[in-house]
Amino acid sequence: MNCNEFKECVCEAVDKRLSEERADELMKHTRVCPHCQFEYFSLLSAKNIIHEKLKQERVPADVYYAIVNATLNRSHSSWFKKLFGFKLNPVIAVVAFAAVTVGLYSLFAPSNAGMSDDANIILQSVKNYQAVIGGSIKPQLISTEEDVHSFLTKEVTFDVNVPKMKGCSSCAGVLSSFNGVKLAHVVYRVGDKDIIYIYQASMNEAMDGHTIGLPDEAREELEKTDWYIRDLSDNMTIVLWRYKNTLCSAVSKMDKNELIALLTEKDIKE
Amino acid sequence: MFPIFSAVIPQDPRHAEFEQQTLPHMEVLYNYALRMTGNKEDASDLLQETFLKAYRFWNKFEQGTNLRAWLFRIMKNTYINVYRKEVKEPDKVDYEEIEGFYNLVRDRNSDDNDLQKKMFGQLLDDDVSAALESLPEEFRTVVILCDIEGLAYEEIAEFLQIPVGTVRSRLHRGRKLLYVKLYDYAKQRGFIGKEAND
Repeated sequence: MNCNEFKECVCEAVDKRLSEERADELMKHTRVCPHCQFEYFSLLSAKNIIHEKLKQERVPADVYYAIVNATLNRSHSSWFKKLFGFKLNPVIAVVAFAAVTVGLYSLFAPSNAGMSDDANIILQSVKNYQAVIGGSIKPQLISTEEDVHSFLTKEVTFDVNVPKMKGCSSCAGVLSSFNGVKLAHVVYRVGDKDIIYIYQASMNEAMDGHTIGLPDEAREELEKTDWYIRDLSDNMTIVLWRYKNTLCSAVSKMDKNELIALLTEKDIKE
Repeated sequence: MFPIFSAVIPQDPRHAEFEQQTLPHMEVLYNYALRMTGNKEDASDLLQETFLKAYRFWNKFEQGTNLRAWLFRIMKNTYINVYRKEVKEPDKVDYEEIEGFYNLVRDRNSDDNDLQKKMFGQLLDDDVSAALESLPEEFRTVVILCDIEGLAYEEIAEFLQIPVGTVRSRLHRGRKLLYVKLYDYAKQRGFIGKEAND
């Protein structure tokens, strides 16, 4: 191989796209030509440093869900009207979603190694709250708190919490699973406009962090006090608490103090 | 018996098809956007605009053709139309000058791979990122697609709608330019001995 031939195929050598035979020829040439040797190593260094230092980054969860929501068919919001008695403007819903979720990922990015963003309970709760508002989460049951409680209890192994809240005009329940972990979801309408969404999962599953999990800060605070409360952007609040062997995660835009007051009222099953 | 509402809301088949096919490409597009714009906020905006445009024109996509290349082209055009207008392009690089500097470095160094690894290995991620961002767009694009995204030359050629030979030569030049930029950063940080430059 001469220097001109080397120049023709050095990039492919760096990318390991040459046949073994051709690669051998190229390396043989570099051993006798310092200029080409320098070129080979410099191009390889440039490639490697970029590859090593600029790692692939995950799409922030809030961006992912904003995109999914933004392209969702707006007709999904029809059930929302049935349940809550008013129609949500889809444009407002999408804009609100985008605005609300900006920054959520950085706030709640899990620091525990191995936990994916999808498995983060806080991000799941906020995403589900937005999906309820956007109409893409569909209620399997709309009834009294007692009925919703009985319905959800039949399918999960943890103690479902469906508190009877003052001022709630309707209640809905949804069952789902995430990678085999069963989840229960309760949605309330409070007064004319407010919505409270409560995500529920086994506390052991949440604390283990294998399939679903919490950011370290939330987990530690829950372990210490059984409660974790954070303000989110756009007047949203998230409240996490332990209910028997269950982790509850409520998201709402209602007044924070009123929300906490409602959630700390006596549970119906106690 | 509980009043159970229909558990199945009919999903728009167009949306389902779009989601199923495009979402697996979101990460690779996000990383491309991140390296083109240089920051997460703009990258997120660019990604969202790309997907919204792709959804709007989903009926124009020819099933069976390369979807990733189609999405990349939408992103690249969006980037050119929106973001590049707002950000001042780096001054045009004089490639001949860079080549001259590269040869100078080569003549004054008998670097082997280990030495270069040591030299560049100490650089901060931000320096590497800045070096990449300083490349002219045509070189930066191929370097990102090949060295970060791991795309094959043929796919890069399809995405950029250029011959594979052009991909190869841009990559060659892009990496040389990058080497010079990285060398410059390493020198500024004192990772390269004075004797190597005098």
